[in-house]
Amino acid sequence: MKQYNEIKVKYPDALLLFRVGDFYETFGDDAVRAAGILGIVLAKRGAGSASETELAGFPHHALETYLPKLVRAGERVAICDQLEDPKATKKLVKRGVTELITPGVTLTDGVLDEKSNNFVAALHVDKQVHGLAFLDISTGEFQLTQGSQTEMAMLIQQLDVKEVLVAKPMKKQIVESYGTQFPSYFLEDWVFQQNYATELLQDQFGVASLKGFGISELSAGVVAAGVILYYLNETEHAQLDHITHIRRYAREAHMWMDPFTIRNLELIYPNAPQATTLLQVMDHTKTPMGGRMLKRWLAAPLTDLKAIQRRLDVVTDFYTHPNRKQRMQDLLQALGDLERLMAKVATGRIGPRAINQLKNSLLLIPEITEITSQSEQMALQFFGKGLNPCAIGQR
Amino acid sequence: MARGGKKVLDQMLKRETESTGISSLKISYNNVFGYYIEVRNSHKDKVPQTWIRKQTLVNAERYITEELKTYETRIVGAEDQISQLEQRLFLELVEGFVPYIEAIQQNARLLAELDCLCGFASLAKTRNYHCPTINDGVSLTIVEGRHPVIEYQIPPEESYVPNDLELNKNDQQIIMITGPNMSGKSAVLRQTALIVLMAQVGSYIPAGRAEIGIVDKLFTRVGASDNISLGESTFMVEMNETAAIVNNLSERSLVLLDEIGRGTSTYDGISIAWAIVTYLHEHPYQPKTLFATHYHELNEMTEQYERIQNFSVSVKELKDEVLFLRKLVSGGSAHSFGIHVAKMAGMPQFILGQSRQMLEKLEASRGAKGMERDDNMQLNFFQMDDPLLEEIREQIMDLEIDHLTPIEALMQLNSLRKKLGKKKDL
Repeated sequence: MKQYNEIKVKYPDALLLFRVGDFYETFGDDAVRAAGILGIVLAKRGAGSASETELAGFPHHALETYLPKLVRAGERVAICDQLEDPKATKKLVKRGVTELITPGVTLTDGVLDEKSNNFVAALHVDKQVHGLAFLDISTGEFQLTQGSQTEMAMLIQQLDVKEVLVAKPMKKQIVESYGTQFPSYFLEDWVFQQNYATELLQDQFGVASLKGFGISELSAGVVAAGVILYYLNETEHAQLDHITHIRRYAREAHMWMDPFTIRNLELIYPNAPQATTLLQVMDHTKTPMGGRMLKRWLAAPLTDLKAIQRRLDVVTDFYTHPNRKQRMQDLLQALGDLERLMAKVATGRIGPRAINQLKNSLLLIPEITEITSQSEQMALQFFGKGLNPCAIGQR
Repeated sequence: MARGGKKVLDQMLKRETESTGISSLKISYNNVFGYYIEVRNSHKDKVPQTWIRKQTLVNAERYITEELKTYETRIVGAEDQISQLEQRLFLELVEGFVPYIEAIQQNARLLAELDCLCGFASLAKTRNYHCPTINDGVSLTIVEGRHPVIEYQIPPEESYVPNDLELNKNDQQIIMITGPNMSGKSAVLRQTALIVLMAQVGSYIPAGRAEIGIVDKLFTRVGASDNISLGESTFMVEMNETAAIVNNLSERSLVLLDEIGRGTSTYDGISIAWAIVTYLHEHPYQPKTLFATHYHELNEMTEQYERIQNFSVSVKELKDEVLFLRKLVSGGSAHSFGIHVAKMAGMPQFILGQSRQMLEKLEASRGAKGMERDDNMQLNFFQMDDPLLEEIREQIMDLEIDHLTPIEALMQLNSLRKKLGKKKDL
């Protein structure tokens, strides 16, 4: 128990899954909560004695079934595994937390929705300027921006951010401005610091300066981005090879729609349980990443004439060439979720079958490029030229 | 080693068979003992001393030999090695992908976009959409527009009634749509928003054609939402939402207001609605607006404001019932048909009868007053107890000078001016 308590102290607000042999155990309050959410038996250890503790557990191979339930119930979950082979040591086997799963930072398949991003965001307020950065660890999408409070609130809602990191001193202000339904998590003030954030970002991307990303002027946004990287480290997510760059989110390029509008028009979420949304009507995508992108597109229509026209031109090309469209869709169907597969490669969570699928998908790319080159449409050709055949696919 | 294993076992079996003379020897494997040689009981006596008995069955015995055990250890060791080798190779394979991560992510992004745009083409084909024309003007023209979600849901025998709509800054900046509940007012509002949105996402649209001047801000206030659980009434929520709109307007804004002023008393509601529409009309940005309301008093606004036009969703009154034609036609609607709708909902005859009588009485008395501009109000500085003067004084004193934007200040000035009428005897 001493080992348990040592670890528990480091993660006070998480539900700790403690690996004991073939089981994951929870103790005390954790056990009470876990038993309630998972419907497992709540037992007592040392009944009647002074150190009576509740406990509840499940077999380790059932983790994939139970973990999503805990996360969906809003729990932060710390997974504490045995770090060495119990047969190899005579003393207490070493244990450590291998992953902390939070609503905004999760890689677990059972929790992720195929057609949805899962964003964590950080909010930093520097006088009147609000900086916001957001990241989806399952795809590597990483962006930042800054602006007024209204604009940031809109963006948080549009992106359906699951967790917003805020500095502790800001607590009162956040509740006043955003209400109590806001999915915030509070971190120490010292994390929200310019130099520290810049350093973290430069380290992650392996660059000497952030100028290349076009974001060095957005100081509040940069701080927010740094906070996210800090948080990833704190939640034991150290394998971040798939987070390769960060971009500026161009607010001015998108239509302003306040939260009422998005809800009122039932673009993505229905107001009644059985209602149909615009997303459902419009979704003819063949890949999960297409589905996720469509969802982001609907929450952010364009305001630049040329950009809109480019999209319409490609649609027109496919509309007037049904065979080309059919061939393209057949290929897309076979691609699978390239985006999330790459994240799995980076975080070491990929299995042989998935790697095989990855290889097969990459082999399809030259064919896709070929289709786009047949069109006279400049915009469509551009896609083909942008695709990298990745020689590795051929091995 | 593992592959050659079978051959080795066969050879071993042959050797032992020959040396012991037992013809029916078998070499097998199980998880408990590993490899063993099985001998039928009838041959038990021929078993050499060197063999170690491991298990007794009903009609056989199982033994192991030194040779067999050595062999087994080597096999297990080999299998271990193979497994480790496999792991290592696999890890190398995965790591081989790492340098390509960025390129593949870029691919994924492009492919996702292709997927969406290809999907839009399928969508257009399946649902009979057409290509919108986008320009950088400030007008909006929709011909034969339909609501994408409603038309998706209605049964195949029915077809959605399409409607034309035009908004511009010359003579039709604000369209007032009156008509009974359930007539389709809200649908017209929503489909306008959705068509603009779909066009600016790059998709074809549910309309015959459309010319869309880019909209940079879309405001909607559609339907009452009772956030009672948050402690706010319908009216309060409505006021918050409407305030958020008027404070953020732009030149290319599109504003859709549905049943503003519903959550409070009739006179209050009409007054507030009137004030909001006036504000939008007089605002320098002249935002395009669709205003659906059941207050047909607001139809009078078109007389005083040149860019407000009345439309209604046509309804056919038959002898005893009401037919919703769902066609948008010019001109306001005279009645709200609320009682007809109540009848369709199955209200008892007694209630309907009483309602009709009450309606007649109210309409008679309301006709006497009117919302005319009273041109007889003059400003006379020497009549200090003039109520108008009092009102103006109050309005000026109530101004929060520190928080007024220039536009708001001009609006206030304009409003004061209107109160004083056209006669400026100052």
